[in-house]
Amino acid sequence: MRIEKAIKRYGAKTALDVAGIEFPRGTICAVMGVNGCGKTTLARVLAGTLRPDEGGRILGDGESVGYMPQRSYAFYGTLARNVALGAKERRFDDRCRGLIKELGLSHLEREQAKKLSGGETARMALARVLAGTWTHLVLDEPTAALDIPSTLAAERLMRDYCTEENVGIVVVTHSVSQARRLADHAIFMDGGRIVEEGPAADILSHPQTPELSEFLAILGS
Amino acid sequence: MKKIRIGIVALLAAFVMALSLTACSSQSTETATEETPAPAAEEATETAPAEEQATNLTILYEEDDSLINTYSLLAVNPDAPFVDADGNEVADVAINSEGAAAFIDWMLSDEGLELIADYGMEDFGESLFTVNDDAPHYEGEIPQATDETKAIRLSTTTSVNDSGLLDYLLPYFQDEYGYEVEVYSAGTGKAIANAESGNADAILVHSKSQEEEFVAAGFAYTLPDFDSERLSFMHNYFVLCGPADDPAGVADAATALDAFAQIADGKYPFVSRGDASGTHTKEISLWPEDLGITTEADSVADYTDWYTYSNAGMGACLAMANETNAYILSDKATFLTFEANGGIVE
Amino acid sequence: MLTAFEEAIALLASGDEMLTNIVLVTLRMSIASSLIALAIGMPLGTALAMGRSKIASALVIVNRTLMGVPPVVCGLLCYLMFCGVGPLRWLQLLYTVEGMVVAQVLLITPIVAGNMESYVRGLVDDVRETARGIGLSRVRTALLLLGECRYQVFTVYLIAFGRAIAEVGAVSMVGGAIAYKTNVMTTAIMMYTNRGDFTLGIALGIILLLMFLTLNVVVSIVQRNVAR
Repeated sequence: MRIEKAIKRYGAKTALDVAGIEFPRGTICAVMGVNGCGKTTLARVLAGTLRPDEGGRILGDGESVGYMPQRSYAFYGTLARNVALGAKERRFDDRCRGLIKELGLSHLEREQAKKLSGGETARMALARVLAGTWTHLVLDEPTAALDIPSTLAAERLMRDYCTEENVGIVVVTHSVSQARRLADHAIFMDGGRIVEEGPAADILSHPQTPELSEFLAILGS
Repeated sequence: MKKIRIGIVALLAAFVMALSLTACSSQSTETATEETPAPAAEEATETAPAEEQATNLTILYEEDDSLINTYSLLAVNPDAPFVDADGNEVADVAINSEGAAAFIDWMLSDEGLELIADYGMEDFGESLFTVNDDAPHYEGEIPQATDETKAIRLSTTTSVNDSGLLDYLLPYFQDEYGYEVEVYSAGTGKAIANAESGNADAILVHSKSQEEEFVAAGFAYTLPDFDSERLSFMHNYFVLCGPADDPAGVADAATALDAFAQIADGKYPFVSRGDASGTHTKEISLWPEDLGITTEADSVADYTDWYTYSNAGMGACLAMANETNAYILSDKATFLTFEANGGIVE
Repeated sequence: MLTAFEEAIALLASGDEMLTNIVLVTLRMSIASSLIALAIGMPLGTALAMGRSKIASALVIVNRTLMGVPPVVCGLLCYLMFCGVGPLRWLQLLYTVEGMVVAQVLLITPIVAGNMESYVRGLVDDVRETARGIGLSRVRTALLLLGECRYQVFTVYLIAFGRAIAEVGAVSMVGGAIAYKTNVMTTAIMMYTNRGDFTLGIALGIILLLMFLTLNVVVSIVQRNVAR
């Protein structure tokens, strides 16, 4: 999966203006930046739920993209039914059962999904999208509503999914430490443009641009 | 527990709504009474509250030849010059002529006429309708209903329907011959217009001039055993009603025309149907000619201080006249029903 | 008030043939028209909310306009279509319950659709993103979206039924208030009021209110059990 030049405008404001990035399978790429920098717009373009004004996403043969939006939505029915919606043939199979166990949701399997807490709903949504078979996965702030143990469990699952199934994962995140722990590659965005990108370990330790330096400095303090 | 509480709240809400309904109706009674220009001061004080005297309205003048109210039956001509809303001719209007003929034949048979003459004796101690001496009479056979002829659409006036005559008559006819008469009732003008739109097989109305127009326009036809399109077969009398104390003194008038002239002279409140019904048509023929009152609303524009052009049904008008101490022309049957019901909410 | 209430109860208890017929015709007409309007209006409203084209937004405006059509205008149009000289006279719908149902469906469907449209609009983005994200088809997404409206459906149904049972302008024109055939509660109330018989009118009004109250209670209970 890659992106050719992609531009999305809302009125006079340019929400996204990026060019030529490759998202190879088997790697995790973190997308970072302040609120309103265009992270979610990029995620939605990659997921195929938003059509840019120019350019767009290009998928290779047999490539498919799963997507977890920023707002986790619970459908009517049990947690199990919700997770099963993402699975092959929409059955609550062993894989689903394994995922909710890893995410600490097993005891809630038969609960009504609408009644779950914010963090539980977010974990359910993650399990739902991981239950599918994809070549690429776009996750928009998947752990924003989670506590630290849940966050670590979710990261473990993403990493396993990435290596075992050879899936390319794009994670939008606010957290620099999460990017350091999880990502192979990092993209830093500002004002709809990609300001800096590179191997996560490199650019997060040795930022080349004042924007990223400032961003890291604020978070570091 | 929670469910019960919600149920109670809902019940309470319904009760409050019902209460306010009643409150509204009694309030309108009060305001109407207050706003009425009382003809004379002492009479205003005599106005009895509705609770104590349900109907202040009484028959003051009746049985004058000019108040005669003749009803006619007309069969709708299947080949009438029907036109649609744009004025284009419509040829294939479905009219159940056989059913209409059977119904009219039965109404004018011995059985029908005797039943009509008898109606009202039980409830009011007097007949509400009198069969005309020269009523057309049918002596032949009446066919049983078939699937095609079963449903008969009768367009009639509210005064006939509200009098209960049809509720009383129709079961005899329907049980014996298997027809089903669907009664559409409105003012005579509307009842006739309804037939001209091809929605009726027969009409039973009471406005000679409008009936004659209907015949002249080719909407009625002569049934095999009769010699006229317009079969006038029964009558009763319109009655002039008003407050029991009769401030205009119409009860002593020499003729109905004098009575109406007295009301107009003294500008005593009068409630008119104002809906081009048979009653309305009759009423405008009774006013002094120089007033220029017609069925049109603008003809009474100068008389709004005493003349109410209500555009409502007979019962509603009677209630209005009762509450505003006004005079009113009514068909007798509806008035008697109104009076028997106490006129207003008890 | 008390007399009217007693009279209503007595009339109901005595199984008065005319009154029973009026209540049954009312129920038949209201239930049929509200259910048909629901069946058409729900998918229509959902489709309107899901549509993102200019045509869809134009249709939303058209629908909102239709929501405000005065019942008598609708009744008049149906009357002109169905009456003996009207272009649809061959359907023989004038002065029939079926004709009244047609008029009511025309009146109520836009209201159902409009209610659904504004409700679904609040859900559609989240549901669509989530469903696309896990690879669900368009049809499946629409079905899921409808399923998400299960709570709203009851509210919308009550609105539809309330309109159907309370409406008088259209049904009196199309139905003609013919006794034992098309006379419903509202037209009967009008008729009795015109005769000056307010007591019976109020009695009928109370029955109408109680019928709607009963339906409300039943629907509320079902709603709470279904939509959890």
